[in-house]
Amino acid sequence: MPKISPIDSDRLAKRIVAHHSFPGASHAAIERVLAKGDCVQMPHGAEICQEGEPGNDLFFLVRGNITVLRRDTSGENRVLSDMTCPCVFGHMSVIDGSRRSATCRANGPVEIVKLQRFQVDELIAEGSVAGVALRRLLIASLCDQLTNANGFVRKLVLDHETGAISTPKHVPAKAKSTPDDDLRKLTAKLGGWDSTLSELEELEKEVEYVMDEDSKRTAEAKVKK
Amino acid sequence: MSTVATLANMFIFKNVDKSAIQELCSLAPPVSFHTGVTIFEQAEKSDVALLLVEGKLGVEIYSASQRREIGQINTGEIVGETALFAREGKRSASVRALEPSQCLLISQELLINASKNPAVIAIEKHLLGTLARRIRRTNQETSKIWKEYSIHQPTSASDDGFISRLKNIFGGR
Repeated sequence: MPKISPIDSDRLAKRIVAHHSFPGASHAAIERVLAKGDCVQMPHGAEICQEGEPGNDLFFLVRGNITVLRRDTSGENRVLSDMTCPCVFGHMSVIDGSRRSATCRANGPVEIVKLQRFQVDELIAEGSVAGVALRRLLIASLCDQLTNANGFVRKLVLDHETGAISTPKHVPAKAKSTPDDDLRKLTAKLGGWDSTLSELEELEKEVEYVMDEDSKRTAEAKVKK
Repeated sequence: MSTVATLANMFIFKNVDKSAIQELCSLAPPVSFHTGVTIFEQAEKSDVALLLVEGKLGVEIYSASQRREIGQINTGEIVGETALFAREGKRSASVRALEPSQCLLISQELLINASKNPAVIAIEKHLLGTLARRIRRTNQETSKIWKEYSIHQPTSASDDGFISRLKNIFGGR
């Protein structure tokens, strides 16, 4: 099977390191991980993984866009999000052996690097440069998923408790969302399906804003007491 | 019992040689906390995680002037790992000692300097499994609520039931 080209590997590894923060992060180490996988090109509409199937591979998106879908109660596929490079996905099933929680479909031609489960298992048990990098990249990715989902819930709760949409000044006011919208977004955040850099940065600002608001309110309450 | 012996008996280190645990303890000497001491404060800048060796810790969130206890940390568990691995650098919750407690401080320096130590690898593998299980469980709960709401089709996010259920799955009251 073909391997990722050196130019693509260098570009993707640098973007991954910029995107995820973990101890000892280096693009050279990520390149070693990418070199272990097979590079696959897929046409528009191809399904990279399917909801409900066992997850035997972990993917890095090298080029292109992916639409993430999940079935609702009527069995109809609903779009959770769109993902662009750089992202690692499909890791949840490989780590905990569970079935795929969503379907990923190529939106236009895509190029991915695929690591098989046995390769992931070997790497995450190793003290090699590639092993350390993959293990920590996956932990960083899971931490981001949890932090984003927690931040989103905190914002919803704060909005509810203050009785107003507490939008940071730099973010334009949005229309009030429905529980269906909120739950779809939350599911995307938990699954790591909304990991574009711009969205992450925007969410970080929102989370920081919410935490600052919380701190202010807590301090005010202490003063009142 | 020595800290090394206590750690060697933990599930997390079941396949790890004692010499690796010894090295871990020399690089990250155990720190003790009295009952009631606040170890991490919510919204503070964060740079270390804790592996609880002995005792019990409580995790609390302050939100809109209310304090909510969202969970407890028992021996062998890790808390505050997002400080080391997430982009956002502030504590999302406060952590307090509920009993006299002893912890190993897991810092960036430790992870960088001892990345090949089997005890550090064991901690990281444990973290991977724990985080994945936590996300999967929360995702299942969220999906359950989503499905129920798809059937009932409420129109407002300010619906009390909706918010309380979200708070519940994320540990609120």
